[in-house]
Amino acid sequence: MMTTDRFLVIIREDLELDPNEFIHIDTEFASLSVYDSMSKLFLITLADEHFDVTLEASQIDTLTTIRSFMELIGVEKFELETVAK
Amino acid sequence: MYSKIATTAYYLPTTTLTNQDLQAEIPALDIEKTESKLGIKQRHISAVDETALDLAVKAAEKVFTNFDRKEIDFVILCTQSPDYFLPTTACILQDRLQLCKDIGALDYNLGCSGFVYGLAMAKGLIHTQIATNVLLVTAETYSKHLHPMDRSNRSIFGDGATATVITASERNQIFEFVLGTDGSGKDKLIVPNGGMRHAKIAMPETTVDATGNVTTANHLKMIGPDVFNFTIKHIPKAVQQCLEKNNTTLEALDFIIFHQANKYMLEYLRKKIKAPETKFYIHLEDTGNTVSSTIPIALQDCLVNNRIKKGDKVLLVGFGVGLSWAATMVEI
Repeated sequence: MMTTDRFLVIIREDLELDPNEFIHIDTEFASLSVYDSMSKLFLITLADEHFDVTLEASQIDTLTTIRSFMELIGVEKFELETVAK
Repeated sequence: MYSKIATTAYYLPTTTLTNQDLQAEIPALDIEKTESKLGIKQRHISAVDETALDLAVKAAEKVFTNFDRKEIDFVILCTQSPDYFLPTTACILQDRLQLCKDIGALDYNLGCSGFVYGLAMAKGLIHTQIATNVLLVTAETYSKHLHPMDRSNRSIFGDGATATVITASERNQIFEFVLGTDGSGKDKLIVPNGGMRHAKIAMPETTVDATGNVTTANHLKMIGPDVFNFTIKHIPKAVQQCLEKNNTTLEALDFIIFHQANKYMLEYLRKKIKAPETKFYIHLEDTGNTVSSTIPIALQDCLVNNRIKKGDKVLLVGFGVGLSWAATMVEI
């Protein structure tokens, strides 16, 4: 299981966000300073590398918030109390 | 009868399209990311009146500086940019190159897995003594399939052609193959219109994706993330199968050449198969992804730069449109 904090660190690193950019699990991907077609590839890689989960491009297109990404990966892979709505 | 790669050469069109050139046409192009993530600084683009066949002729003429064309007894041409629906481009190539007439010639339609498939066919032709010296040509002009405002694909693909002579050998230097196909992924990389299923239309509807890439059904469409998924699902497995089939290990190999799709994908695949950086080739900054030509271009560059030498065992892995994949091991 991965903590939310660790997940946010990985997202920040993998999407190459500005170190000063504040993100939390309800941050919208569309609001990030960098979110383009390459970012979608980074999210697919992240899901495969850290969770062994394969996500289709069409699934990535439906993402809204970081929370929605965690739900797509599977809430059971995270500390539930921090992911549950 | 065994077989080996005797000699190889490649030709790239003279016109280059740098990232700066492309950004001048499509301002949204991120030059920094194109270089750092895709690993591409420029690609070569065929002229309007220059076809894959023209590139093939030039690549073959280069290879014939090292091999007598009169000895060629079979031509195999891999392209998805033929001059005509019919006749077969390889037949025209036979004439353009003034090869003997008592030889076989055929085209086959594959993309990024094409070179390894061509090696498999050449090996089969030689082992069954149907041929002795096979000219395997890969030639592609994907630039002609792309919409002018398709930023993603125009930044990835470049044109080019290669010519490789595979000859009979006293010892086995082209080893066992692993081949794979999954046609359910046909829509992941496709030019929808222009064949018999859907004719090319005069005023196709333009579609713009969420990141601003423009295409029509007359042009190439690639769902990059899904092609990426296909590779990470199938290629590490194919590598493992190929190593087992050839009774070898990654450690025992001298070098590894994958289809040069893009740097990001290659780096992730390298990590997944746990190959050391020192023996895993990644270089497409001057050519972009030249489809079926990336592996023979890499082979030739590695020979010239002494990254591989005579006697080396090299793993070759191609994957892409189809979806299709192929892996083998060769001794240089």
